[in-house]
Amino acid sequence: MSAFFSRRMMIILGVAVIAISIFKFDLFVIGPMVNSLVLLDKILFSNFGLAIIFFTVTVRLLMIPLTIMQTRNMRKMSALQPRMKAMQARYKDHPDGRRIQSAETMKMYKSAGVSPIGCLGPMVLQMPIWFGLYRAIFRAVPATPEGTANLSTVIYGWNPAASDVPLGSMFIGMDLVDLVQNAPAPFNFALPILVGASMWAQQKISAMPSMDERSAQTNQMMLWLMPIMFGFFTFQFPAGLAIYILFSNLIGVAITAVISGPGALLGTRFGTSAATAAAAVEAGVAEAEDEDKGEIIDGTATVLGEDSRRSDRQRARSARRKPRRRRSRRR
Amino acid sequence: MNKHPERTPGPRILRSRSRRPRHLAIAFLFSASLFILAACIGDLDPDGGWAAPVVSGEHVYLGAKDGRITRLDLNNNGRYDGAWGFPAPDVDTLGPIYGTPRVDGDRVLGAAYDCDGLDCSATVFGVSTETGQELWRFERQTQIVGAVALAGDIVLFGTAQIDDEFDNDPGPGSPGADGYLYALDISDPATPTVSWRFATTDSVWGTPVVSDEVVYFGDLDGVFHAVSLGGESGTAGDELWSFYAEGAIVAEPLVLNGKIYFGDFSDNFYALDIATREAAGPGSNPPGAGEWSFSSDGWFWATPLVYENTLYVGTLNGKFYALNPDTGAEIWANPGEIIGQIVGRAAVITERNGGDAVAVPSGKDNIGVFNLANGNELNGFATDGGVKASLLVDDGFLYAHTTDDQVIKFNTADRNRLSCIEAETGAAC
Repeated sequence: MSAFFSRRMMIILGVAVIAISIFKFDLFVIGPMVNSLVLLDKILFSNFGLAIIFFTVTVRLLMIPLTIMQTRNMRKMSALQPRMKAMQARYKDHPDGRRIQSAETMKMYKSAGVSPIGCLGPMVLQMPIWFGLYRAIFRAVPATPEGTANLSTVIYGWNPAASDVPLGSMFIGMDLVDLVQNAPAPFNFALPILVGASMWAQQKISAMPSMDERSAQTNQMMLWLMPIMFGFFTFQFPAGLAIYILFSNLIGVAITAVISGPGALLGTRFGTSAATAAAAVEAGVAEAEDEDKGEIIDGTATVLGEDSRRSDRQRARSARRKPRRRRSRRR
Repeated sequence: MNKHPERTPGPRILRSRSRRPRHLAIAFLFSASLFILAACIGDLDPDGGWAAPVVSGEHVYLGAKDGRITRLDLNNNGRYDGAWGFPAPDVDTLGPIYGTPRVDGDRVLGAAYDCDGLDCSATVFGVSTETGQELWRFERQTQIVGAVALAGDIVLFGTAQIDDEFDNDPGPGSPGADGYLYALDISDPATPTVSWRFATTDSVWGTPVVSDEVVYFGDLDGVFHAVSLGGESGTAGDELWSFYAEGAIVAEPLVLNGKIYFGDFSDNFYALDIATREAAGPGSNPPGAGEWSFSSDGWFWATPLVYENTLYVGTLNGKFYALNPDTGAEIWANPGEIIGQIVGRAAVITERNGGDAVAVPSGKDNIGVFNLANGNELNGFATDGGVKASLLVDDGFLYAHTTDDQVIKFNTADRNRLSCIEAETGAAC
């Protein structure tokens, strides 16, 4: 039920976010962000670079609940993988294997409190914020007359910093509106490298380990492809956007490290090393064999961790309640 | 009792393999990166299309979005003059034009710029009205947004705080990020030379205005300057006085009857008295005798218009005001808002019944028309795109240059559209 509710909630939130994004993006996202940036610029000594960094960090910190939700879901999914693998092996040759697997997967998700779209949902919710933030950066320091004229539509008249626009865009010798490739050395090369490296770290620390070989290969490819691709893109990005991505990634790594433990960056994702995961697969297979023999399965806790233990306790509690009901009926 | 528990259908979502979320995530990341890339590039590119048509003699001159100066022949029913144009069709254009070209005798003066990021290249040029050939050109690595002004053989224009113009020198007279007002001597067209340049504390995007040997202009730092052009006013290039507005100034000022009118980005519109300012000297600010300011609810980019002792001006949030030019008192404001920004100057038109009305360009479709006396909205002119250029009214016709780069000719009396051409090519719309 909780998984269903969470899925439904995510869909509703997702639809709401998309609707807002399409129809009232300026009003609900860009406007508040631009005004915050303009205000921060005034507070932070008319330094728009500092305003971007401070704002990016603040927004990422405010999104911590979403990040935690996403990380927890990934952790649960990750912990379920050995059992999934075992189940797939078990029904591989079954004539109706796919359908059974679906039903079993559902059961597994339910018992573990996992929402299948729980990993994507927070990401979908964060997307408009990320887009909004980078759009806000360029709305706040426009490079063209059109951009400057359009800025008037999002600046609040009561913003005490409203009269400061258009803002200065210089930061440690770089023009934040200009392309990174035009920035003075060493920023023109350092920024793409730092963006790529921070993106790699971000992906590495938050990647979900996969038991499936093909998925693992895809993950590995993306782990390198995206940072390299973004590193190259960064040459063509305005410097302000590069600063935003860099600090967004760094704070993302820090948050995930706090949630999952720093070991994630060193290869032991979510505290589960490759060896442990392999052992868990074996355990999962053995467990599946036990199930075949008609034994009661209760090996979930060893794999699922605290959340699944909680759901086991709930099952135990409800099991204890049943006899009481029977007794009351007798009365 | 279900005999076939294994046949119980699961929810559809679970029929997907476990890889699907990951593939979706990858698709998300790719689309996000493409989205970011596309959006960023667009944010840095100037677009142009803000240059108003200019009538001179038998021609209407246009500054097209792609940086080409073309013209219409009024003797030939306003048709496109394909034999004249600058640069020639087989030559690269100079980039978008924002400032209205200035026609002076047998020459057309203008400025254009283009950028790759903030690597910008701007060109100020003179073109023969006879042949369309280039007379001279002057190039700087900067942005030139405003139009050029002319004082004899001195061309005046403002530049932005980038590339050539950014000296990053915090020393006296160069307080960091700079723009300049250039005075370019074109008495010898073969070698246009910088006569002097006046350093400002920020970009100069507005069009300078010349009056009585003084050039008036504002900058993005919110400082309004009066600089001598020599002669009796003082030494050329010396600042006579300045005024600190609350917000950035990009509007071309209107100098009329000893007063200067302009608005800024802090929603204020100002009337400065030249005599009062001259007496006060440089760096003076408090409102003096005969001066006023009017607080609106939008930024000012448009140049004001004064007609029959009423001042008309619009804001970027689409509000249009009629003010008393002596006191700043509001006479009327349009009850709603024009949908779109008012960037260009309004124009007075004559109605079918002989009465006057004011036509207001709107940045998003259509040209609004208001009753001069009370501000009541009348039938407007239908355009396909927004109009950010000032309107040209000549001989009962209204010419509008749209942001889609179309030049549309209307009959002012009945609002009928008489013709529409693409400014760049002369093709019918």
